[in-house]
Amino acid sequence: MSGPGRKASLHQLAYLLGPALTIILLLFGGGLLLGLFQALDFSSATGMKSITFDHFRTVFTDPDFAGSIALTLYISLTSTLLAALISVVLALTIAHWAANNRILNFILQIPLTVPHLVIAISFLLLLSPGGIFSRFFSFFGMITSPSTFPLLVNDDYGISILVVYVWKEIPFITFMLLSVLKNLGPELSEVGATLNGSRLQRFRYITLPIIGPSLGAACLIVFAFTFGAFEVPYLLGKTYPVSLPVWAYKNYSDIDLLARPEGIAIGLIIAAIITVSITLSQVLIQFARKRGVIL
Amino acid sequence: MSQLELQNITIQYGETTIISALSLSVENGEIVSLLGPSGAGKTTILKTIAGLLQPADGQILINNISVNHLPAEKRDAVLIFQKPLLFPFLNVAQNIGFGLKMQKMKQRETERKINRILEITELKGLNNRKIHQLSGGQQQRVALARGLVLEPAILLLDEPLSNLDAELRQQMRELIQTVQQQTGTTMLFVTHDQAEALAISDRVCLLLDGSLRQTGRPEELFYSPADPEVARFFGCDNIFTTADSFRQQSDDVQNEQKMFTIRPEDIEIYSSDQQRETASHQHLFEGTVTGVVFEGRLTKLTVKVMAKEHVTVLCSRPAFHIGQTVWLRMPEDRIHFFP
Repeated sequence: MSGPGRKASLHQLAYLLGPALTIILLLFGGGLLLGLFQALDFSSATGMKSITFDHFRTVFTDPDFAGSIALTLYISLTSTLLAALISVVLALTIAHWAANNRILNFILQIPLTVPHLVIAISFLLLLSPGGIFSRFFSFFGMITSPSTFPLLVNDDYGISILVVYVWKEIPFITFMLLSVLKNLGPELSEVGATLNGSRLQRFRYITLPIIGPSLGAACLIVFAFTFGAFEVPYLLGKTYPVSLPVWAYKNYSDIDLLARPEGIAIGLIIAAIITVSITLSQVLIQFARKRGVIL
Repeated sequence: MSQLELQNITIQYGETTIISALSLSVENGEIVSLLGPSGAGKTTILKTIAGLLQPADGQILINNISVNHLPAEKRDAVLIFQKPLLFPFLNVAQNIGFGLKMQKMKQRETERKINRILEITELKGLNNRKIHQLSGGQQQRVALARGLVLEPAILLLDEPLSNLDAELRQQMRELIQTVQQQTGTTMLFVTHDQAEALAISDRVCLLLDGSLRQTGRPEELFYSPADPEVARFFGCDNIFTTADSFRQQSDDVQNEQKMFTIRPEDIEIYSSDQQRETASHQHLFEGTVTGVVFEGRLTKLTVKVMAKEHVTVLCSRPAFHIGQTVWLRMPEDRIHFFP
């Protein structure tokens, strides 16, 4: 597009997005700024002299911090990796049919439309020791009592949290991969085959470099979401240690108002990690565009 | 010795038969063109030879070994597609060396082969270029080099020139011929462009309606078509029978009714009695010009002869107009009777 045309379209875009962007900036940007002021103990009366990093220091030196961040990383990394692995297999398997199959697309979209909260509550109702499954198995004598049902909710390994995240994120990653595979079609793999590439070599040297940047970008987005999400670990996680978002929420809603700045500091740490992840995902998408593997 | 032999190959998509009992062979070091209109199944045949599609019936032999059961990567055949289909994340040298990497060839040998093929395909100096920095012609040359470097038993080319403009197409055609002479690579070249097929090939196989109509040297197909459809494919609409009125007018009327053709450019056309006098009286017919189409190098004239037959004539720089009376002469030695 020529310079003036592009300029005009950018103006048009700014005009169209302006109202929505203003509200987002005011609500989210304003909230973040106020939070930052609170976390830094900034007071308009004393100005910059009052700024302190004590609340951040308190968080970082808290004995629970290491356990909390380890749990949060475990949940987000494991669920992201599992979702990515399953998505790659799924996308490669269904790429041929997905392009023109509305039913397949519809089925894939179901998990995308259901909120995380609904799935978490469903898991709680189904899989908790007092849930439907334990009663069902107990009723039919498969277990002696509902309390002997394996602990799948609020457990040490966060199994139910991982399952919820994996179930929710698979369609998201799969759709991103399918769009790349759809754009390129099967021809490059066919070229690889006639150039003596075995199935495994074609996956390693053709498919993976093509889907790699998009997969990486999708994984970073999923990681950012699961790292900062609160409701699922709150409902399905164990009580100690808790994930960073749950810890932030607990501190923020503590009856002791002095705990609130620490809660905000934790929230800001989470926001910083998410921002880095999202920025990296955008860098990967740009990289993929430069390589010509996504449009 | 045949590098490639297809024995009664039948190819189907579901219930639809695309190719029926097709047989052809390509000898060592030959360039054979598989010529046919769009949708004739040419690409399907190449993909079947390459192992990307399975035939419903028949045998495919490469180097006299049946390869029906072998996957594409195990066949000694490389397919060059219509689009270059280069790997966008690799540079020129890496693209060319891709197949060698799959064969796990040593680095030094790989580099030697890549450099040699870069030279042959006139791509020297472009080793480290990104694919998007290449022109369409250069990209197609890289695709050709990527196939040639593997020194396959047979190189399958699926209309590799069709996406190029006329000048580039000509250059690329010459390059393919030069490369073939230098490397001795056996090639099966698919095209819908008859001029391309005639210019590049040792032999041409014409594919019409899912079966091979005629195979032979380019001149054979062009001047001695096996049937009227082959003649029409090569731009010869002059299909007549010995029962046709103007043919009966000639001296050698035969009792047996036969079909014959004469190429439009072989018909001599005269505009005046004086000119007519200079020509032999044998097979000379009076007619009226009913159509004039300027096609550049030649002009296509349609002439109504004996108030009945339409004869197509090609001539250069004609001074004829519609409604003009002309005389046509059909040299006996240019008339081809269908078998």
